[in-house]
Amino acid sequence: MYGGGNYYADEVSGIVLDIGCHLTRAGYAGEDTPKVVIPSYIGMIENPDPNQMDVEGIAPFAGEKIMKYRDFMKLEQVFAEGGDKSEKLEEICREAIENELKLNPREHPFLLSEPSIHDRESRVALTEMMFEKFQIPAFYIVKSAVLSSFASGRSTSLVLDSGAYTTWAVPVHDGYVLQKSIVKFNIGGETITDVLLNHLVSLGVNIRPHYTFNKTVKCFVEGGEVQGNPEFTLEDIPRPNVDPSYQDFSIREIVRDIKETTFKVSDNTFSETSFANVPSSSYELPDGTQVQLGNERYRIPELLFSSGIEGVIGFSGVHQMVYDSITRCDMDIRRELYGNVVVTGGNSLFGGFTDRLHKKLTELTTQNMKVKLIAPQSTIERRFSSWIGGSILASLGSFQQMWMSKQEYDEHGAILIERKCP
Amino acid sequence: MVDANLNVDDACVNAFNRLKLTKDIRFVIFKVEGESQVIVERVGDLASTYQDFVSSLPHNEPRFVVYDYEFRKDDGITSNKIVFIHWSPDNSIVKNKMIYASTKENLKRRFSGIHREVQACSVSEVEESEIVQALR
Repeated sequence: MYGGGNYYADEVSGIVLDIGCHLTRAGYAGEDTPKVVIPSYIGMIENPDPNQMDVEGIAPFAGEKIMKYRDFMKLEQVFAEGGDKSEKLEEICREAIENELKLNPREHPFLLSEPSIHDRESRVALTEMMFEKFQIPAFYIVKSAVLSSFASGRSTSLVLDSGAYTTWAVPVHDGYVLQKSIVKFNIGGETITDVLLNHLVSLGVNIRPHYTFNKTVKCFVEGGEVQGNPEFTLEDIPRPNVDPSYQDFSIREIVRDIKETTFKVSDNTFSETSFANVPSSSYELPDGTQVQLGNERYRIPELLFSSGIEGVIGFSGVHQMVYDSITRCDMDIRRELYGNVVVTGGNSLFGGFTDRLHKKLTELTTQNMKVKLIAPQSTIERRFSSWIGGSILASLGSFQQMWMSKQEYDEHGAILIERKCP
Repeated sequence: MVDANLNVDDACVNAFNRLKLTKDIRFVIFKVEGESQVIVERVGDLASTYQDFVSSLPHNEPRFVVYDYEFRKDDGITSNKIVFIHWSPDNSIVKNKMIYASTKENLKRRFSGIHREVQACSVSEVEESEIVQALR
């Protein structure tokens, strides 16, 4: 028996689920990293042709199945603006739990992370979905910034979480999120991917996704040794029925990789003159074409520390977000927050990001204010910090009494989550 | 508040009350044992110095501490204040960081009469001057 004051012996492992805007992470509590990391996208085919039935069944598709090319398959983000999210949310959970982790949700308690802005309606809906659609035995939900803060060893900190589509500055004090001081902007890693994509298009670079060609390699072998350079030949595959959303998704996968391998945040404010002579970096596209990147490697990520992002009103850098958030907090705790800035999220992984953030924050604050950033060196810890925190928590024997049990759900309804997980 | 719900040994509250009421000890160090309960690890006698306390903290594992800090006020009168310290060095393993951070409130709320709280994640953050500053 879970929760409700009844001690539950640690027989089965809890499952930790972190559904992000771009990636969904799922895995067993107690493990160091999530076993499953899949895109938070659902593939739909409207009116599928029954004569061309896929071996993998009919839409919706998720996980690995959306990576494969399919005529007319439309990709939708789980958290896309507008439309009904609940079906897509259920689909992505089902994919992660039943198809990827291959387990029966009725047998495992589930811990989910949620956005740091308290949203009663969403968490009640999520609770209902988990108990009704998946028949789980027990549930718990924790704000993502609290998990990141705790996993860094701090019950008080300012969590700067820069993800794919959103960047948050969230003050956590004694384990509670200070709701009124949260600063959030809809910018993130994909904003930078967008800018790079537009830049490449303006240069006339044709980015050809994997499904549009066949690549064959020919090389001459004589006496068991390869002679000369191998020859590549490309054969175009016409795809008249590709959905624009799938094309866009596939192109962005490539652009994102270009960004992750070549971009860096500069130590100082970017200017054309001081960055005129940076060595260019070359990147080989899947079709073999070489792309040369010069000072745009520094110019584009500079947007994260400036106010020049088109369409994002009021944003003037991630450092300003931290500053504004702390300024909205009580005077008494500001010193402690500046001394404990926890940096997390995949978009913070650019080389030079934390050094620049530290420099910009120090410039903004008064001279005697000590600014300290906490950013795990490992990419895994930085990308999955809230999942890791949840994994440890849900694996503790003593925590097994904290779950909201199915019995409690049946007796009190989903609204009880507000009391069980304040 | 997310709480790991560890058991807190009665000896913890007893040690705190001794520090606060009997006043015959200087500090108490608490540790988490077996990922399941908080116990008293060490008690520092009245004669121990702040330096004695700092040198008994492990450099790569978190601890909780209550310290009865004695200081001379501007008017020359000595005064005592109890400080709660959450020692969480950055080079601890993430599991321990998480367990201690999600246990701190559970322990602290059992102690009435804490004057200030200090979260220290490096040796420089647990220096005596930091405590003095926190007590100001």
